[in-house]
Amino acid sequence: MRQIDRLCWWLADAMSGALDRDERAAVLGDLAESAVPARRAAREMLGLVLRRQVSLWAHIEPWLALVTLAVPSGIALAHLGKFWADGSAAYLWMYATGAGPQGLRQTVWQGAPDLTVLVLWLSLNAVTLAGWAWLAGAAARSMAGGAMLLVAPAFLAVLVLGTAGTVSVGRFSGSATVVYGAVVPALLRVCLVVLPLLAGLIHGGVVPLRRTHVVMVLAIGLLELRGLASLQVALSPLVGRGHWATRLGLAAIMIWPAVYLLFRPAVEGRYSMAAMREP
Amino acid sequence: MNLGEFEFFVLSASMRLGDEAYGASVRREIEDATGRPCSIGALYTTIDRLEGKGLVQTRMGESTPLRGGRPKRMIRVTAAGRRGAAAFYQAVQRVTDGVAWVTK
Repeated sequence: MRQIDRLCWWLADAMSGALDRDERAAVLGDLAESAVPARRAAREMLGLVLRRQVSLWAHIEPWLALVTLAVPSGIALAHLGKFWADGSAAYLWMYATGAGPQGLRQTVWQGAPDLTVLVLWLSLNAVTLAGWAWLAGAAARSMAGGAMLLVAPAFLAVLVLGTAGTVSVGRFSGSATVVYGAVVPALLRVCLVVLPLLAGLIHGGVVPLRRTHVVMVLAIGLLELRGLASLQVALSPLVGRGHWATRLGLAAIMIWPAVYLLFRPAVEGRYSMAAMREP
Repeated sequence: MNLGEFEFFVLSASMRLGDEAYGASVRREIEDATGRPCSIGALYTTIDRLEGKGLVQTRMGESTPLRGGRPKRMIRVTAAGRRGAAAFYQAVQRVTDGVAWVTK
């Protein structure tokens, strides 16, 4: 088999992943039985996947996933992730360089650096960001269903481009500019936002039914609200500060994924005492 | 029940094939009869549409080595499907009655 044929069959197989399991098996079987040339197989698979996507977008759910989750959560996560990542890197730099009380006056320590406070603050931020990103991904997956093929890239694009043009809060000197001003924030954003979001988008389609899932989603939902003040500061150039409607809107954006994941099975009547019991 | 041309082809091919009607066989039947390529995308979305209208029923069938061990999607035309196809065919007959198709 020529390389190009192998590539075309690989493409056809990869694209068939967008179909549901039974249809994927039937279509790949039909292509194998018909012994169609590799290029035609890839072309036909592309045609079927595109037709399926078009028909999915004729329903409201993918649009809702895009408008209520991918865009608002993507922008909010991008800004809060950048705000906390930059801040964490700045605090780490100050701690590492033994900054004096003058420099630390505006930080969470209000004086002498305390490693316990720093670790607690970083950990809470990390759990909040990762939990929110995972919930947002899981809710988008659950809402969009098969239309994830387009919703997921859109979500990631909003996340990556959401903070385009903004400047870093850290002011470092020497080699610290690269390490604490760029590398550490980038790593934190990838680990605490991008990876959990991807995990939610890929594996999070199953809505919570068991008690542990419900407790976990509720806990993350509540934890997110402690980030509301930070999110408001992070987004202040875009939405202003202080107005109650702004605060309410941002809170709604933050907890919507948790609310959706908790209430969708309830609306569909899928909660039952048996399902809520632990295995 | 309004049918499109391709829907009618799928129904007719499935009727002719009977218990052997599934994706690949229906596709072969249509390509042989019309002399035109029949894409899998058009075929499967049409089967779904016909199923949604209650004109066919589908189920996953057996797998064969020829298909790489993958199952077939078997198609069965329902009574409503037979009535719909018959009505379409009669409409074609009526509208073409007396028309001379052969040109110089």
